[in-house]
Amino acid sequence: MTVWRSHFKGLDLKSVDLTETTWRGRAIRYVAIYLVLALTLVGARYLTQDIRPGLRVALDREATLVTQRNDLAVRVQALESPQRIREWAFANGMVRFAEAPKQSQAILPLPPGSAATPSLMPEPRVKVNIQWR
Amino acid sequence: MEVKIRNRSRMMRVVAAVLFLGLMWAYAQLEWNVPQGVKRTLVQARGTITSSDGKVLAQSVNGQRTYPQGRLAGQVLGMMGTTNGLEGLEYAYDSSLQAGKNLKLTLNTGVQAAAESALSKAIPVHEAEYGSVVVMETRTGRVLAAASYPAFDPNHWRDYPLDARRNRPFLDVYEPGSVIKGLVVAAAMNEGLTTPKTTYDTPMRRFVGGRWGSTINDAVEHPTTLTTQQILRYSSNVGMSHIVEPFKADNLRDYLLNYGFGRYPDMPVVPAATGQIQPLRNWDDLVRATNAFGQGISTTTLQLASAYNALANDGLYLSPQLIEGVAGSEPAREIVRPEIARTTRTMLQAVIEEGIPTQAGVKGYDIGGKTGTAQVVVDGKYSSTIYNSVFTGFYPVSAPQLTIVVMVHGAKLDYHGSMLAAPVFREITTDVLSAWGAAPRVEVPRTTEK
Repeated sequence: MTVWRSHFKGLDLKSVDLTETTWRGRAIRYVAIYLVLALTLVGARYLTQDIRPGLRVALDREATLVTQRNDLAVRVQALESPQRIREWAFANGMVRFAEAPKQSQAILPLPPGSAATPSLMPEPRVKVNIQWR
Repeated sequence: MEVKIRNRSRMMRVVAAVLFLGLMWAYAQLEWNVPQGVKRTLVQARGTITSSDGKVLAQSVNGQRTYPQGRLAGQVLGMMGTTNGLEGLEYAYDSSLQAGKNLKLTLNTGVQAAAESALSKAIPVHEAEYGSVVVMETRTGRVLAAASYPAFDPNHWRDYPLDARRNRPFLDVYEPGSVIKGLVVAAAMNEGLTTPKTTYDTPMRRFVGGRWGSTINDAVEHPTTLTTQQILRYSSNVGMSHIVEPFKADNLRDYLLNYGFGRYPDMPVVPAATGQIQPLRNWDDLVRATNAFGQGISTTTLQLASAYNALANDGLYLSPQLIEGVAGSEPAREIVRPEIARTTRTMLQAVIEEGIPTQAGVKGYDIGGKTGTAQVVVDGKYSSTIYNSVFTGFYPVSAPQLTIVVMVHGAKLDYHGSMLAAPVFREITTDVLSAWGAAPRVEVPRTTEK
């Protein structure tokens, strides 16, 4: 409290410029500033006037696309149902594995003279010696 | 003063009329159609139902409940009304689904499609009324398929009659007929009352039950003496009456109860029927004999599948399971010893390989099973025109992975189990084996070496 009082202690109204000219100058400056601000705001609004409707259209479109995506997801699930695939396979002449004729064949030994055929197994390149202690 | 009161009275009447009309409107909304906003939110927030192989069976899309697989497992799923489930799992798990929880079923869409296709192919050809199939994973008791015919599409449930919505494998109760013989023989062997090679005198008919008895007939021509193995092969009722003769009534009844007949399957929440076993006081010689060939006892396809699954699972009974992670509270129980179960399976393999290799068997694969042709009771008497055609089987015999039960009711053409249910079983098994790429039995290789 004491600090505040001391601040206004030396205030002398006679030393403050309160003439009409000064007030008029101030008023003009403030009005000009307000006008500039108002113009800026109106200008900004004018320049961005398409954003809001555009946003609304985008939101509507997003909702439509989400609906379409969901519908398509359901259609895909319906189209790839095992029943449909099964019917399609039979309609295209496919035979089930269990019914297909099968033949088994013995694996024969290599013909003589093929011993020189290089082994399919690569030669070991790392040798490990283990010492028991 | 009087005028003032009259005006107030008029105003109150108007206000009362407006309030009443408002109430009427609100009631009408609830009665005929819930306000759209509420309905949409409730439906949209509802949980999804998926199969074990990850296919979506029921989901909410754009505020509507849809069933992308169409008729696949339609009766199991049931359907939804305006805001609540009305039948099937939509009804049984209504509160859980409403809370946004998802439901994962043990059903496999491939196996389910195979079962439904096989039924829908065979039933119209044989001019039958309806049918059901259950496929179980032997080692776990998980239900891989629960199929009903006629088909039902929950997307358009209002277009279908009430009968088509019925989840038949869980709800339809019928006398199992001869398929029960495999189970009774296993029980008798477990008690040391018979062996596969024990021989019995088996005329084509036999009188059983003394004063209140009746004559038992066999349908398939067979030799006058049969071993237990052959009794299964020829499905001899007379032979079965001999096998159960030393069986105490309460003991045999307990075996049937342990197989799961006459009691609710231990599947939480899911609606299922119990079937019936007669009370012990009714069990005289005749009831014991008739029960041994599947008359005087009733079951559902699910119960029959669970019972045969116990044989396939080395004698260990497992409660059927339809929802992943929701197992029953009953622990697994041993009904017959593992070696007895294995012996019975080998006997049932011979039933197919010696009797109906082309109707039920798949070339190159070891399959065991038993047929049944049960007369249906109509107005308290066994009908001579309406039959249930049943087949139970498993694959592979040495260590089964699949247990399959087929039932078709009311066929007018070729109604015998071997002519109708067995080929349906074969069709399903072929599909599943093909999908698995199951290797056939190794034949002796043909060598090209000279």
